[in-house]
Amino acid sequence: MKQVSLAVLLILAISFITPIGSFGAEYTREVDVVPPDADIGNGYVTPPVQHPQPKAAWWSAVDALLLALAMGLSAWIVLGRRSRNWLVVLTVGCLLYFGFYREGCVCPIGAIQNVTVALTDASYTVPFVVLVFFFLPLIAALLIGRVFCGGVCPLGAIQDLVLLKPVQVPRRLDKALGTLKYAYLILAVWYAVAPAVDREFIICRFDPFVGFFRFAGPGNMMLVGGGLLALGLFVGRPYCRYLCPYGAILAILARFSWKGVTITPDKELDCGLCVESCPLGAIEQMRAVPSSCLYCARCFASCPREPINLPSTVPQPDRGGV
Amino acid sequence: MSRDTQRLIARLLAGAAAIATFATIGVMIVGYSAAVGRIAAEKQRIDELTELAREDDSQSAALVAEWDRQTEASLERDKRVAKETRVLVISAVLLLIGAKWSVRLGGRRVPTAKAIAAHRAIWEKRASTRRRRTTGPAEAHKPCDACKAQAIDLGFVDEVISRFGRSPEATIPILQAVQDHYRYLHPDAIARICALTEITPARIAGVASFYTQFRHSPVGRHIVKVCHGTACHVAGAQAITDELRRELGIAADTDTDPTGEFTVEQVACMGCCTLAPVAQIDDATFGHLSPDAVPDALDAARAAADGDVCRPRPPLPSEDRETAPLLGEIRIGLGSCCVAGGSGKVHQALEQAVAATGSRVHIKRVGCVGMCHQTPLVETVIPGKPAALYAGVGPENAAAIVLRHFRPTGTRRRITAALTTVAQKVRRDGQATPITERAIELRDPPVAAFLGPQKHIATEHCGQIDPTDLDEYLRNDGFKALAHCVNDMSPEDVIAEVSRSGLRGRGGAGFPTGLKWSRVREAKGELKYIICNGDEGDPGAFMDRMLMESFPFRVIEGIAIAAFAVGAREGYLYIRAEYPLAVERIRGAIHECEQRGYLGDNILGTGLSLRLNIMEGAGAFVCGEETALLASIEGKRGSPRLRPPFPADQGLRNKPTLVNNVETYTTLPWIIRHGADSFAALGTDKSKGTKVFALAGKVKRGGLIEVPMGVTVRRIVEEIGGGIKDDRQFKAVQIGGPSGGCVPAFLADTPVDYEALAEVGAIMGSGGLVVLDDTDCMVDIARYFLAFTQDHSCGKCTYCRIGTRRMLDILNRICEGRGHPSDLDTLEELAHAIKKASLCGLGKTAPNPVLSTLRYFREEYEAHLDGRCPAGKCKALITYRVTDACTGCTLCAQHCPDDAIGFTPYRKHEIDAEKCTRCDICRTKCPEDAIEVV
Repeated sequence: MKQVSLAVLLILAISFITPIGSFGAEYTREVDVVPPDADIGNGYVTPPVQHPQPKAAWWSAVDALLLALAMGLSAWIVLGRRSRNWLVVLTVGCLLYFGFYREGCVCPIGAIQNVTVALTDASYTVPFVVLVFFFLPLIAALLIGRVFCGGVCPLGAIQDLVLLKPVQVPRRLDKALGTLKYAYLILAVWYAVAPAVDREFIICRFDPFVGFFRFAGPGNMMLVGGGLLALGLFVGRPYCRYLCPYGAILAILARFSWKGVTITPDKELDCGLCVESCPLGAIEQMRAVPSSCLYCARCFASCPREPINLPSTVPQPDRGGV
Repeated sequence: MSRDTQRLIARLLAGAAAIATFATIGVMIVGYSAAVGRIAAEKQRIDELTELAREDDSQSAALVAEWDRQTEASLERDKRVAKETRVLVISAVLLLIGAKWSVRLGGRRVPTAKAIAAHRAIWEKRASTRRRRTTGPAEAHKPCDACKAQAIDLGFVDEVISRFGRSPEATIPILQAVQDHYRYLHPDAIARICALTEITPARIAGVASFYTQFRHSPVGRHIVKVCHGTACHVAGAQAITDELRRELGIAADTDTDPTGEFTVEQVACMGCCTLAPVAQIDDATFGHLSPDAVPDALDAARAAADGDVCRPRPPLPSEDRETAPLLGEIRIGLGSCCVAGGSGKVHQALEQAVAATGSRVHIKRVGCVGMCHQTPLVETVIPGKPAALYAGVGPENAAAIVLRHFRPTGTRRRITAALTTVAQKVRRDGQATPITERAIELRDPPVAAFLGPQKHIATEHCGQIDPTDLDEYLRNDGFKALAHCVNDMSPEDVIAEVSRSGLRGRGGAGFPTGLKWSRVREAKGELKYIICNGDEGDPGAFMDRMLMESFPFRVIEGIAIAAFAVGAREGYLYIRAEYPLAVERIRGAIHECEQRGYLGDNILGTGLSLRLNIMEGAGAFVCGEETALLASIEGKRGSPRLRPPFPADQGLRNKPTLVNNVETYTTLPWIIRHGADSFAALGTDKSKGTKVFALAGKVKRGGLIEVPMGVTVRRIVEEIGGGIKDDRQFKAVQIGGPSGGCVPAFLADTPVDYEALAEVGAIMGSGGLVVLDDTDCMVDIARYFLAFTQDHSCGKCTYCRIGTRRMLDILNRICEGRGHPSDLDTLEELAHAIKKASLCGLGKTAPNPVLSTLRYFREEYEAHLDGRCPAGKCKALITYRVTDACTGCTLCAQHCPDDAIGFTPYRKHEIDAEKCTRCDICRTKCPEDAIEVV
């Protein structure tokens, strides 16, 4: 448990340090093109410069902090408490805040393109909060895997909550479809590095769920989103597994993660009772695969070594003081 | 709230929410289509009014009114849609909650045993071979009289006869070659042999029925040899055999499966005791087998036969590698044990990895390192740097080891190596262990404890030199002792030196070597023979094999020294046929020595001559006895004869003959080089020097060890062996194989010494040392050894032939719980009679295992008479039961070959005693130790 708390602390520390930059630089811009005051009428006077509302800056900081907090909590619930129920509470909370309240923006998935553009186009700038949202989950993935996907990402949350009766996707099909997300990532980067006139923010434009968060959106995307949710009743998180371009980056980084989910609380039995417990196809050879494990905490209940399954005659696994 | 009420509420909730959801969707669709339907009319109305207003300015008020009305209506509609959306969301969420609730109440979804097995099959990539098994091989082959009578091409027989000659002495080699070719002793081939040679049908029948190696009926396309040596026996060889027969569907009265694909044989010992249990399928040896690994092993054999084994790529050609400086060497143990542990594949992988770095690194095959429990072992040696040792290496670790010590040359190779490393890490997805975890340090306490008490004399330079490289042997003081003898000493000096060293025969009986030599030296006769006894038949011993495989040149040097001392000019190495690698290495070494003048007609330019031949044994334990061995070389049944005359006076072909054990010879070069005094300084009063032991059984660290005489048994077991596996209780050590006895734990402070061991009822023997724990039944051990000696009794002496049979019958009865209270006394009585009335060592010592277990573990015998087996080994006396510690992990049910355990996940399992065959698989598989034997 020491490692888990260390990871949580690290994520929190990073998040506290990073947003400070966003308060320092006040955003100002000369007004050059405005309608003349007379046209507006009613004695309107154009201000010399435009200031963003200070509230917005504060909200960015709050967003960044909440993100870090939610990821820390998610890590602790999954690795420390090993509780699916608490994770559902966190998932609902994050869905309500990052999804419905913040209307699905800022999100790291779309930030892929913003960050890519900022890297290739000197005239394009991104707010600091976007950088935080983009990099924090990546750092976490290197430390403990895809903890962001677990209870934090609103797009994942909405699919996770609708999952009703999971079916196992045949492994070959699963692997084949899984490559789509890499293609999507390449396409997104391709459109982002294109010259400004051809630039397309395809990730945000074709975000299937943001329409639900805003109760409004293009009809076709609403249909796609509805279709994905309907599919998501039986296939766990189809967007995350097969399409999410950010998931593609996380999957690569998570392979190098230093810690990850272990299905059993203490000793490995290799009994195989967990093989079908993962709705996301992330269990191979009776172990959670770091690159596709989305920290959903569902497999724990299937382990005969989990305290809820143990008869009273068997020594309870050591929880390491958590 | 009861489950039913909950379910009712959940269903009601879901139902109501479903109605609301679909109603809202309906209302929305109706509203949407109505709005869509009105669009054209409303647009038309605006157009009309616009037209009117353009013509008549007074009409513009109507247009504005219409604008306002339509705007109002549109806003109204938006509000209504927003309201409907909210209702839709809420009802959908409620529907979801209701549906999830009722799904949850439906109970936990648990995979079936079949599903788990299917998943395993996918992972282990066994699907294709499994399919092949169910469809079976194309043509069925049943051994029948018609097949036996089938005509064969006899040209090979003629060729064999021309190779081995026509004398009766060639019987065994001819039969071996014929069996090798036709896979059994084909009657036509035998008839041909009799017709062409001086060998009579009676002699062939006698020899072929005496040696267990010879088969008299056709066999399957693959031959499975299951080792039933002591270590394998206590590690569960019987379970392996049972599982093989069950898996292949072999009937009780035959050894070949109905399709003629596999023949299952039991062999006495393959000398891979630290890898127990071991089985050999065709040429591949499988170590650490478990019954559930049997199907995989069979599949591997089928795959190998079909030629679809994954062949590694040949090393990349590289011009600059020839000229590059030699950076160092990588040593890999390639003894039989190591190869069975998988070092052959590691060797290939290492070669490729080195080729990929582009540097010149010598990959050296070395003999046995001794740490057989850690195979495969890889050691990297770079001048000026400390050597690094890796244990338990697999082919997948090869690249990592090479890259850790040898930087690839050139930028391109470096980048490739870095990328490959990353790519492999990505591909394995966090499931590989870093190579640093395989590294072991010589200073590590377990390694230090293993090596600390050892003293390498016969096994000098173990793990450091290439067994097939004569130059390397020469660089490491090879043949210096022989040169010293022939140049500076007289034969009498050599004998005196050996006598002074106190060396005693390492074959088991401990006869003083110097005394034996002077007797042969003094014997009259121009022609004298020298024989190296490498017929290591004791189950549980593999020292001689290791010495011959790892130090063939040292064995030859020792023989040459002895031949010089006694004046022999011709000699034989009698090697078990079960040791093909030893035969190959010795044959190669003899050839090389003859080429280089260390053997042959002019040894080291002194005019002395020595010709060595190899005689392969044919699977008769009794041929370890010297007179039986001589008879065997003469092409007869291996029956011992009365001594005197001793072989020293009348041995092979009635000429004076020196017979010594492999280890005795191997020790000689060291004695000559270091002087008799330094050898005599080691050991005890009467037993000097060191002794090589094959440490196996229930110890943590098994292997080939060489310790000074006088070390206590306890030190060997606890310090070198690291104590008992799984921290069980140390019960006894079986020393000396079927002729030896068991030293119980309370006598573990007995020093290793010929006399001290004899005193406690064991013998030094050739050095097999099998450690037993509390799960080993001593009655079963006694029965095991007696079954072995009974099987190998040559039948000459009645007491040995019939007495051991009677003893075995009694022991079988006791193990089946049908013992009689007087049985123990009868056993003792028979044992003493057999000891007295037998001619050779086999009969004289055969009752030893029974006597020593009766002496120290009589209460276990008595427990069996009461119908209990305290160790839980004797199948007829035990039942298996699941305790409350069962967590319901289903592993036992998944592995039970008899379907005696139901698949009940998360609940306590039950064993059906009727179906249970006591195969012990469930107990070994249970991770909670929740299966007990009662």
